[in-house]
Amino acid sequence: MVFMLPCTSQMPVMVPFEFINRFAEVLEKYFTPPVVPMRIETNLDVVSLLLNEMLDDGYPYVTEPDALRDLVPNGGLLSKLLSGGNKTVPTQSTIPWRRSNVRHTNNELFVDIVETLYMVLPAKPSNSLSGRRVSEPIGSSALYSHSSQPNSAYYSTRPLVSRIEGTIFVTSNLSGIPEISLNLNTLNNHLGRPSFHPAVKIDKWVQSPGTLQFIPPDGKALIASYTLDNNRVGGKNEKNRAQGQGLVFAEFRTGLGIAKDEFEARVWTTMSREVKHVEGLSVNVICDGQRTKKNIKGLRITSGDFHFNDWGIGEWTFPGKTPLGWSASLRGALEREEVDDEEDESEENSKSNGVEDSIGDSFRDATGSSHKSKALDSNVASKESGSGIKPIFPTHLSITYTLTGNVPSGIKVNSLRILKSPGLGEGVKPFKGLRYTTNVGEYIVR
Amino acid sequence: MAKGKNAAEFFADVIKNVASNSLETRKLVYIYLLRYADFEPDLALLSINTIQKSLSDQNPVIRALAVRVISALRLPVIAPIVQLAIKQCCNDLSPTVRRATVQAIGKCYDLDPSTGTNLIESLTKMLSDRDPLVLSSALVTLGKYFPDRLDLLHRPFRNICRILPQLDEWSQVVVLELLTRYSRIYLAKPRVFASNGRSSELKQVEDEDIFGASDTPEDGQRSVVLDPDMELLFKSASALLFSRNGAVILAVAKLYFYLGTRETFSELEVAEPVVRLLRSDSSVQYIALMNIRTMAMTRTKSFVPFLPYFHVLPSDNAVITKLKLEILTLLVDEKTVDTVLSDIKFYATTSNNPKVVANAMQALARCALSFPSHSRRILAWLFHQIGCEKPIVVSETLTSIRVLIQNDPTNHISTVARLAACLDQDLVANAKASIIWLVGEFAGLAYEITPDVFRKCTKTFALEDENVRYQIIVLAAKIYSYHLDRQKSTEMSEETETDLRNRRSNEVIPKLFSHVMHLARYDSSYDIRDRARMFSALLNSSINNDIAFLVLQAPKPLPIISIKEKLLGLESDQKASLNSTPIGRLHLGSVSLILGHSVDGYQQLPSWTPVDHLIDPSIRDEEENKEDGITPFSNTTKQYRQSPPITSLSSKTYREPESHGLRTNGKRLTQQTLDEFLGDVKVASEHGDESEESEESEESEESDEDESEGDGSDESNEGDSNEDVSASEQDGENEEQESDSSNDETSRMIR
Repeated sequence: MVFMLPCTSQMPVMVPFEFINRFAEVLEKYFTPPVVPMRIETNLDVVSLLLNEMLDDGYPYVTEPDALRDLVPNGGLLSKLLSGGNKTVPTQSTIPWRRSNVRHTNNELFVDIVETLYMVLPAKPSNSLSGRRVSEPIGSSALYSHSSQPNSAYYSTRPLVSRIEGTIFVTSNLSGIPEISLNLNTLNNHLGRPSFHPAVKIDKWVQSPGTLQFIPPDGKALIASYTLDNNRVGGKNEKNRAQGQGLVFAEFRTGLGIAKDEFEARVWTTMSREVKHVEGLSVNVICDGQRTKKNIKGLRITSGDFHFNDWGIGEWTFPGKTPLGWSASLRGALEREEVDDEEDESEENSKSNGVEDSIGDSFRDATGSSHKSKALDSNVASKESGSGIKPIFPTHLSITYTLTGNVPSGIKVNSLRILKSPGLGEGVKPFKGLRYTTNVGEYIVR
Repeated sequence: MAKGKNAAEFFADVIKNVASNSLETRKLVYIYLLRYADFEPDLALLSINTIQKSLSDQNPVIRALAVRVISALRLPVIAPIVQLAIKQCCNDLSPTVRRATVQAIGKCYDLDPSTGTNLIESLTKMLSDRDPLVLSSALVTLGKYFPDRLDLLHRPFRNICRILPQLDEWSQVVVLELLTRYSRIYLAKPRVFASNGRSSELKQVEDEDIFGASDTPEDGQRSVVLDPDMELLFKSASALLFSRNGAVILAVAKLYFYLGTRETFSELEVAEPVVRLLRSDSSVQYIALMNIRTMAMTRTKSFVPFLPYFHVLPSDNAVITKLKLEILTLLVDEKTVDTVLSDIKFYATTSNNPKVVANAMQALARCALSFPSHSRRILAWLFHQIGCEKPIVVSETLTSIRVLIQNDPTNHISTVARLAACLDQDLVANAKASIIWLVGEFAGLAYEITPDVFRKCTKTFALEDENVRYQIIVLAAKIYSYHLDRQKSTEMSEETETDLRNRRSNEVIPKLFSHVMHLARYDSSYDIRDRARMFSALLNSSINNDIAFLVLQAPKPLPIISIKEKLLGLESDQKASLNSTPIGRLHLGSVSLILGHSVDGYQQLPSWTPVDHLIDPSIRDEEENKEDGITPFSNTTKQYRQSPPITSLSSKTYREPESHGLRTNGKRLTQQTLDEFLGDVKVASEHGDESEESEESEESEESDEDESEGDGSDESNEGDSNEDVSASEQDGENEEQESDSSNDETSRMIR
């Protein structure tokens, strides 16, 4: 959906954007997702009523979904009116985010912890001079290696980006006004400053991090969201870096084979006690992103399906469930589209020699030959390594999968208690459920 | 109605139902009424009576609804009625009704501004309301309709601070903004004391401008003394950093950014929630990044730990990539520079979005400039890229190299030579043209290489593209003009030092020049024919020689590369002429910042009130007996509100390009040392004060041309600049300096 936001006056710029997000959230609550245009069109009366309540005087007014539910009944006013309409007058509850008079026959409480993984693994330094990406001047960097090499080796072992974005959803189907305490075992992870639903008591969290105490809104709600940065420079999480990378690993190497034009992608999963399988695992082999058809010659794969789609991206998929403690590899060479490259290369060669002769004299006198000779060296180095033809390689892999039963950060719910529950009724034992889900946002292996 | 059909014809029938017993019916009627009251104002008035009656209904929901509707009817006639209703409902027991009433105050003011004074009275009452929701709405109304009446906040100030986390999240945004402005006016600025380590006594650090702050040394103990009220505000605002609403977080960050010192900013980890905004969708990300960029310029330290967040992900679009790269280069330090560099190189080579490549290359150039130790490596890498297959990479590489060279011309003669060697490869026309241009710039500095390059270019002249041909002509003219220059000087100094080779090349250059001019005269492009004619006319007659020198040997302005300078407008770029506030100084979280220029209703933050003008803090005491502490001070408020926005002098001062090495100008300047030259410029600019404004506008034109490598538009300027120059040349001896500087201007303009 695309929104346009005409604005007549200066206002805090974030407000309209946040409002739109909130509005979309409310719409999803009213009309079961996915919210398709058809559904909005048939329910325009409800939408206009909602907007009527949510905005007053050009500024957001009541935006809590639960409070709105009191003001605007689900079916719309009109339908209620036509069906005779009950005369009860709703009373507004004192807690802005919870409806008054919530009644449920099945009392249930679910906690969903969903973590999304963001990883970018930089390229490993290759052993030979052959170079993974020929466009990068391995030769010239080797020239200055005394200063740079140790550093780059150090950095390449750790992921460039490695962070986990976690969210905690609470689905509450409890009658009355329950107060819930959720205790998390954060495994000494530094959760930073999570963002909370207004219901969460912040002072409780500040006193004892890991404890969330709140009166939940009815239905599903995003209670807290946090970010774990495994890579934070000088952060407290340095030690835990090994963990927090999920269960799926991948490796990407180029410049293999006799002609040094092959690449290999390997994917493997590690064991875990809580998880049985990984779902929807797929690896995208991304070439230079140009929308041209690509071909791979000498393709060898151990399992899974591989094909190129119309966008020039190789999709390597493993349908269904993938067991743990498993590995697969893909090897091949990318075929080039242009053939005239070799000629260019030789031309270049002869010409560069020509330059040397023609302006060499005056040049050397003017500037001293040190710089030039270095340039030459690097030139030669890259020539040797390239052995005439520049092989092309995919630029990176991107991996997606989901799994349930575990989250990469290892965060667990210690306890989930209902502290007070006025209105729940005597002897009612609500059902409590927990679920951990891992998603992948960006998992890039270069 | 919701579907956008006109239902006005049913007006009378619908209105009849206004007294219906069913709440739902009534609600629908109200909505209808609000929509169509404008069409039938008379009929709408009929319903007023009923609505008024329901103001005293049993049910608070109905009362609230009635207030809402009566105030939202946009009929000027009923303003007094609305006012009455507001007065009546101000004291309502139900917070819902009171909230609706507060909302009505604003609408009523909108309807009839003359009612202002009465409304403010009610609003003042509401501002001390105990219910957080009512207070929220009251503050929103205050912020929206009476933004200048910050004095109303004196008494409720402490209460607001305490209750802040309980307010409605939307109003928190407005409240934080109000409080920021309030504190700038009425609270003492945090004083920073720094001890130098040696002496134990504390020295108060002088006023640090928000943007000058990074200059003060960061080491040494610093302690901050806060106004007690400010402390209260900071404390309660910190709870809002947990908010899930991005607008609130930005507002809090803004508060700390403008009120607090660097210490408070990092102590409270303000950066973290702001960075967290990057989780949201791309539009929010964009806004967050814009704001982070502004903050990171001075609060760099706080943002450095979050460096990994600004690595570009493949799913980011071009705009976000650009911002992320800019922030990366702002935050990068010695420890991280390797990682960041390799990352940027990856983007530059693998992306096939030209904008991304351009930005990555620019970022590389920025890194090279800020880390001289790495610049050699970066340059080597850039050279390697010239042989790359993608034309876009090549041209961006050359732009970056040019930037690097222009920033330090004397040390880069060898670089130019290497570039010249690249000319022999198969290059894209644009790349070739820009190399030739760059070589031409060095005609005066490295006259050993340039003629040779020129010679080789001449050979293939006919085969090149049009803009390459043009650049060859320019190169020819430049070399020839320097050649004439040298000839003159050797005539004077009896050619003892001139060695043999020089003489030999001296003989060749005129020939080559006339050869190229000859070729160009029969070019297929009329543009090139014209230019060739111009150059040969300029250079072949001795009278015009001086003009030609000015045209061809003028120093080029440095391309703006540092983000800080770009945003703070130290250089007068194109935008500076359109709007007075550079983008880096637009304040955080405003629409203006995102759009890059100030929009209607944009207000600069008021500057801090000096300590001795502050109002007694007792004004914020919450004693009930303090009835009237407000009116006497409203005057001072006005005064401070009208104080001009902060503009530092530095933004006006015009920065001379540092590329003096390129400038071996005419007879006078060749003999000057750098220092002498600098002195000259200073004197000249003092002399030519009155011309400074025009100078600035000219600057902006130039930077335009600089981008396009000077291949368009100079033709038109040619005529008047000629006049300028000749006029200034007739000036007397004592004014030579001034005329010199103005000559420089014109000549730069021509370029």
